[in-house]
Amino acid sequence: MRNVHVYDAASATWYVQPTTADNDLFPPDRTEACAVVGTATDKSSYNIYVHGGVTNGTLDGGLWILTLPSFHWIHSDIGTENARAGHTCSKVHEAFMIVYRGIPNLGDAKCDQYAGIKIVDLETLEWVTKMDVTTNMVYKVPAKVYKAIGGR
Amino acid sequence: MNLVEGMFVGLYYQLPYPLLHVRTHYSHHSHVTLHNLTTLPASDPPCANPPTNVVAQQNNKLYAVGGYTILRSPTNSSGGGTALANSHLYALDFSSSVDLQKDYASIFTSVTRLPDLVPRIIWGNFLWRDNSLNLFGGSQTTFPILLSDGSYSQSDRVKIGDALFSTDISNTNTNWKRNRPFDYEGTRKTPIGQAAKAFDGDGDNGQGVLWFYGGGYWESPVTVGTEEKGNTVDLKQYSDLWRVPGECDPGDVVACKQTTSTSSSAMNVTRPRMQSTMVWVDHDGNGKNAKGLLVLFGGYINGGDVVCSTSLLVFFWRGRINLVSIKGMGLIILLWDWFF
Repeated sequence: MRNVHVYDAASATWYVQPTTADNDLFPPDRTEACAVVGTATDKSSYNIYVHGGVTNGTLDGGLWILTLPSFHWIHSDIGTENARAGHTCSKVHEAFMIVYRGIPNLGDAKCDQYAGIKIVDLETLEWVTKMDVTTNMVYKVPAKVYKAIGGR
Repeated sequence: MNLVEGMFVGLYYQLPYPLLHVRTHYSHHSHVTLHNLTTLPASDPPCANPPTNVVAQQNNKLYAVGGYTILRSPTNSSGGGTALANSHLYALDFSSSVDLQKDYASIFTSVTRLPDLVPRIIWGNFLWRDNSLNLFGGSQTTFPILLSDGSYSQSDRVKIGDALFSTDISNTNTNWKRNRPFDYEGTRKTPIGQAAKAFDGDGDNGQGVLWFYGGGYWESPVTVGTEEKGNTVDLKQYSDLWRVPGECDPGDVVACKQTTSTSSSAMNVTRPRMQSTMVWVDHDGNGKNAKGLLVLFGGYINGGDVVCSTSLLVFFWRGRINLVSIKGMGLIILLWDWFF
């Protein structure tokens, strides 16, 4: 996903703009991924977390972040351990992403009544099984992001 | 091959995963499936996989609906199984701390069986507004569903959803209402689903706007039993963007929808159309002022092949940019500054 298309609503015209990535490491094209957005408290960055999906018949389990306004892709260390597609991602408490159901294995869609929920810590970029909630939680930009783009 | 199976052949050749997969299961076991259904419990299991959509969110509580399950014989867990459309609306409560290893079951604070009149929809669309959950479009599959009396039915769901179903999110057991067809004008059919969806608004206060992009529907009619149904076989894909604002009466969604064409001929780069992902990037991060942009990425273009787009799409809403051209990342950043 190397290109950005910009649509001007006023003129109904499309524009094309490339994204960037370190070491030419762009996320593979995919279908059926899901995403949430984390907004820095100072609005210095808006980070789109993209998880999972299918690329040419293969489940992609990775978690990528497209940080705006630089439109720069950052690859997290999350791998294929919870790969799935056709799922939904929802941000809760500004700090966690709930990954809900989807196809965990291509070629299977059996009931997984007690395995459909996974949680990602949006700051540490890790899968967690515990979600500790406190009052007035805020979104914190992952170190991997602010080291790449600066600020916090 | 019967007519229903014939339709799934169409699906097989025109859709990628997971419908392709489901069709494989279904066609191989369709006759056995219907026979075996009489041995299934009267209530289908409160569990389904893709694409069980989270359709609403309020105060860290999620609501999910749709999807399907492959049911297999207890004595042959590796067998082909039966595709069974999910019949439940789930409420998942993440308002307090959670330990998945201890609290998993308690996350589901309610599992409500949809009334039989509400179609079991896959890849549908949703609108969350004024504490009302509204479902429309999507693929009403031929997967059998178990009715509340324990019998099964697979009739009259061989089509895309063309009506709006609404319920009060606080009382999902009752009060489901069927409203008039979403696309009563006939100028554009509601997407079969596989449209990219994004919620722009303040979900905690039950206010918001639904955006959806792309999707498709089955263009040619098909006869099922003695009835002619309006869509199957020929997949027509969309690449336009819809905005359904939240300022109108739930029963009048059709009256307040807005369509923003994104099929401009000026755009000569192939864009994603189905199974894309879209998010609303809100300026303030709280959805309160409807200022921000949509980002759309991925998806496939051709019905028969999973050809992922190499593009990522950004749609600026409430913008007034009138640029002659955009060249270089610097201008993108300039645009961003201009917007925010």
